[in-house]
Amino acid sequence: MSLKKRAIILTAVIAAVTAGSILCIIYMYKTADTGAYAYIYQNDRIIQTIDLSGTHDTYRITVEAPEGGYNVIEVRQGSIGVVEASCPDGLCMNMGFIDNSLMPVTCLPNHLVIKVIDEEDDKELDGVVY
Amino acid sequence: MKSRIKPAAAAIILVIIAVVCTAIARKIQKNTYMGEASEGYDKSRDIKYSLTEEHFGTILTITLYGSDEERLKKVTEKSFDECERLENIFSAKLSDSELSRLNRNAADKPVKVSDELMYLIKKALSYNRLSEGALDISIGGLINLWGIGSEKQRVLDIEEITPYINGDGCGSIIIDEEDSTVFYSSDLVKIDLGAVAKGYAADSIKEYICDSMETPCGILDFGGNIMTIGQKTDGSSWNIGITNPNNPSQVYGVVSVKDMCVVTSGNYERYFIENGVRYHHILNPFTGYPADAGIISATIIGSNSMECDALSTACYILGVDKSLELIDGMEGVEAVFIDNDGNAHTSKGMSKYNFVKR
Repeated sequence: MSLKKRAIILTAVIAAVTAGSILCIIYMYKTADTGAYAYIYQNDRIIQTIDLSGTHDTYRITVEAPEGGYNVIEVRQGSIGVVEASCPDGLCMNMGFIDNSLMPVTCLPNHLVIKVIDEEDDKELDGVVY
Repeated sequence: MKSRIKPAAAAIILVIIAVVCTAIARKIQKNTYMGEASEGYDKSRDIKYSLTEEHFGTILTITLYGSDEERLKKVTEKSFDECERLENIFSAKLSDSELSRLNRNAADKPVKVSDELMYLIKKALSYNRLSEGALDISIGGLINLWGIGSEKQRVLDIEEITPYINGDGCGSIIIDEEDSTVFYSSDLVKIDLGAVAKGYAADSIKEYICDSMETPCGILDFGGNIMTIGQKTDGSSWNIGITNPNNPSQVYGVVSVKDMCVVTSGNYERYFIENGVRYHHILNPFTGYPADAGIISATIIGSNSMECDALSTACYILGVDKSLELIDGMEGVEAVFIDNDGNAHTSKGMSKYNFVKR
C-alpha cells in the first residue's frame, strides 16, 4: 500500500468518525434541550418517571388503583395523557395530552396525578394559577 | 510524511473522543439532575424541597427553599399535617369533618362549633354581604345535587333548583357568638366552604412556615391557587402564569409578585359537557345554574389567600363591570378578568404586578 493510499484511508476514517461524533452530539443536545419528563403519582407518591423526549414510539401503560380503579395512560413523544379510565367523571381524559408543567392531569377518584416537568418553561415561570 | 500523519491523526481522534465523552457526561448529568428533582431536591443552588399531597379534593404542592434540607423536609411535612387538620374541620366531602357534622344537625338545633369553623363561616358571610350575595356558602345542598366532578353529575331541571334559590340564602344561617353555635333556619341549607377553605389553609400554612424558618422562601400551590412566600432566592419576583381558559395547556398572561398570592377561578377546572353546553362548578346562587355573567377566568392578587379565594369566585359570578367596581373600591387587591371573547380586563392598580399578555 502506498503512502498516499494510506493517507487517504486515514483521512476518510477520521472524517467519518468526526461526522459521526458531530451527529451524535447534535442528537444528544437536541433531546436534552427539549427534556420533558413525566412523573406519575399515586396516593401522593411517585410511582413512575418517564422521559417524554426520549420516547419515540407511542405506548400505553395501565395504572391500577389500590381501591380497584384503573387509568390507561398513553405516552407519546413529548406528551402524555389518560385515554381510558374507570372513574365516573372522566375529567382526566377530558384534560387531553399535556406537554408542559402548566396543568397536571389529575384523576382524583383514582388518586392519580401526572405532572410534566419541562426544563424550558420552568425557567420562565415559577407557578401557574388555574 | 508517514511519521507526520500518525501523531496528527492520533491527536484528532483523541480530541473527538474527549468531545464525545463530554457530551455523554453532560447528558448523564442532566438525567441525574432530573432524577433528583423527582425526589424533590435541587442541589444546583440552595436546596429546594418539594412535596405533593392530595387534600381538599385537589392536588397541593409545597415547595420551599433553604439551606438545611432536614429542616425543609420537616417544615413541609408539618405543613401537610396542618392541611389535614384543617381539611377535617372544613371539608364538606369528608363525612367525619366538623362541617359535615354541622350540616347534618344544624337544621334541628343550634350546634356548637370550634373557634376556627366559626371564624371562617363569619368571614365567608362578610364576603357574602360585600359581594351582595354572589358568594353564597349556603348552597352546599345545590352543589351536591349538581354533583359536578362526581359520578352523579347531571343537568338539573328548574323544578329541582327552585327550592334552593327561593330561600333566604345566607340569611338562613343563624350564628350565636356567645354560645359559639350555628343554626340553620331551613333544612335545605348546607354550608359549603369550598370558596374559602383552601385560601384559609394557605394563609394558615404560610404563617406556620414564616414562624418556622429564618428566611422563609417558597411557593404553595393549592390546586392552582398560588401563595408565594417571600421573594425568589436571587431577590427577584416570582413569575406566575395565568392559564388560558380557552386552552388550558397554554398561559394567557404572566404577573410578577413577591410575598403575595394569586388565585384564579375558571370554567375549565371541573365541568361536564352535555349537548354542547359546558356545565362548570361555579354556581350562581341567584339562578342555581353555573355562573354565566361573561367571565370565564377571574384572577385576584392580594396578600390574603382566603380573601383572594372568596373574591375570585364572587367576581366570576358578578361579571366584568360589577367586579371591576368591587375590586377598584377595595384596598390591597387587584384583578385580571378574561371575558367570553378572550379579552382581559384589569383593575386600576394591576400595573404594579406587571401583567403581560402572552
